[in-house]
Amino acid sequence: MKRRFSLAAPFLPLIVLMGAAYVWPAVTVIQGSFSGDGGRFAGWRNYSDVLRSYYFWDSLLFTLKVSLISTAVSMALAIILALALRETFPGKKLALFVSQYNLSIPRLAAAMIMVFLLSQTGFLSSLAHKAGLIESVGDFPWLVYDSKGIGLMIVFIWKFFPYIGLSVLGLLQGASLEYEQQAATLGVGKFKRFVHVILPSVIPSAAVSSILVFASSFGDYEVPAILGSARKRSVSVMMYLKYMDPDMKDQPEAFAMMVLTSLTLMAVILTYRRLTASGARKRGL
Amino acid sequence: MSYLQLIGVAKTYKGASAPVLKDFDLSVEKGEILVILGASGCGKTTALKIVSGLERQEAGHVILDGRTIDSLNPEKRSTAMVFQKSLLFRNMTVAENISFAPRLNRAMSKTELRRKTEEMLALLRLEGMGGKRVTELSGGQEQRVSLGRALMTEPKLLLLDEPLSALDTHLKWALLAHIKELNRKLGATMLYVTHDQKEAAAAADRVAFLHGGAVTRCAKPYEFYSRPASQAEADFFGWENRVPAEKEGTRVRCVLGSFEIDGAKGKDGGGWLYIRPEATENIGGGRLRGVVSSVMPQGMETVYELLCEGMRLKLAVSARHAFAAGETMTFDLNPQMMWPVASDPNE
Repeated sequence: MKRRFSLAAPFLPLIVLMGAAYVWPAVTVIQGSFSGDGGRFAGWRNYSDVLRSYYFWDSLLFTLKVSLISTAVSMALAIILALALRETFPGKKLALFVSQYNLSIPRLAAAMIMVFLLSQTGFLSSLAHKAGLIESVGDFPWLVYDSKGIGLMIVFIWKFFPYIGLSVLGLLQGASLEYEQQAATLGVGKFKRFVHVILPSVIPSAAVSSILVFASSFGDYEVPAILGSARKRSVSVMMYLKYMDPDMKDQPEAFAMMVLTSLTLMAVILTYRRLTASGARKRGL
Repeated sequence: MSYLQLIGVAKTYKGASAPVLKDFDLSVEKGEILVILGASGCGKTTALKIVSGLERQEAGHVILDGRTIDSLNPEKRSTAMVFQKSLLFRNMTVAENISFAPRLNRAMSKTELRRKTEEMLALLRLEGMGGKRVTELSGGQEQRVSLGRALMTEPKLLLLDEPLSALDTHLKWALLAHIKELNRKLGATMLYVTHDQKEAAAAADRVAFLHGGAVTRCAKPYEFYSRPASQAEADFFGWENRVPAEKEGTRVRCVLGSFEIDGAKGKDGGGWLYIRPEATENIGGGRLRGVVSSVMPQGMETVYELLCEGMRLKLAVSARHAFAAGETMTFDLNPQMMWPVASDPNE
């Protein structure tokens, strides 16, 4: 026991700091979610109010839909990107740079870029109008501020797919390539190699990266705040608006929402991890 | 026409200053095991990859069973390759690995596939292990499964890229014996790559010695051990000692004496006399005297480094004789374990 303590002693300041950074806010939020008027204990009332709210469920499902689609499309694009980038071709370095530079752009800036690019008064609509493809810029489809979350998904995919792509590319250039070459020399064609050799080898790594992508897009505030629709709000925007309510009476509900969305996120991640872990066990990884 | 022919093959890797293969010619007969032997990095694996289609040559042709296969993708070449690593698919059982290619290519009915897989397991001495996960196998078993997986495709040519180099010594020799047995039973033509001259000698019907990007000689393994044709061959095949010498017919003179060497060929004049470490005889009673400078016991024999007539020699002597550093050893050298080689103008 003493020995354990002496081993942990040098890390104590870090442990205390981490505890303060993670535990204290969590305790504050949970405590806040049970408080009522004048700071009195309100029991489960805030939770039941939130869970009975149509707007909360609508927002939660909308956020889940946007995050899941963004993650799935990012994963598919990432695998395509990685497959393309592992080949040798003229201009490969440039292609690699172009596919990675958006990683360095802050999400806030990415959202603004999309406004300039995709809104009805943006660059693409002007271009389409000048090219005679649409009669007026108002005919350009709603790609941002839309209730389907298309603008949000475009930003999340654009921001995140290179991230998964890079982790997959590392695999494709390493062990996976050896296995693919082995399959090729055994007479297995390209498509079957992709399905039976490449995909099983890259999916575990892509899955781990995609958890981070899912969590980031699910909890993101800046992008939905800038590009989202007033009719369909993501949970993070909804929570913020409730929290910032001028007479502060909605704050306990905002805290309850925070707890519920955190639990939802944890449940999705745990299910996902369980699925990928059982898949890995089946593959003997 | 030989079963496999590589004619004038050349390959330079991007960014490399020199070609890894140039004017590379090779012929392999049907049913034989031909071993490409050479130092690390000499282009052996590249040659194998060119035959398999994993690499493309800049010049030359690959002809297999009378058909030029230069433009074919690896999956169309009717070759199968076994790599240094077993590269078994971890998500599959032993049987699934063995039946991998014919199952995916639907090359046979399910019943036939099951029967052939069982036959292959028996041939590999892995009966009853078809349902096992490959993670439960030993290194030698893994490599046998890899071999079986390749043989299941009934390739025209089996390519083996240092298949034993990751194995322990005893597993290595057991598996090598197995490979030879499979070659005999199935009549499979095998092109085998290794950097280990002992492994090459044990495996090969013929050895192709690769040096400077080309095959310098293709012959029976014993030829390399008894009659090296060049300094590179002699250095590679364990001719540890060389002494400047004058050759005149079959007689060779050097500081160690004058020796009559049966069958000595080549031009007369200055060159080298190569001496195998095992050439020592008449220990304790010979006419040559050497002072031992280092002793390296190696089980049944001991390798001594000694200074004799101003030459540093490495000689293997039965462990029955024991000399310490600084002692004098008297010995003779057996001319049957000597061979004259002309000087290499490039050295």
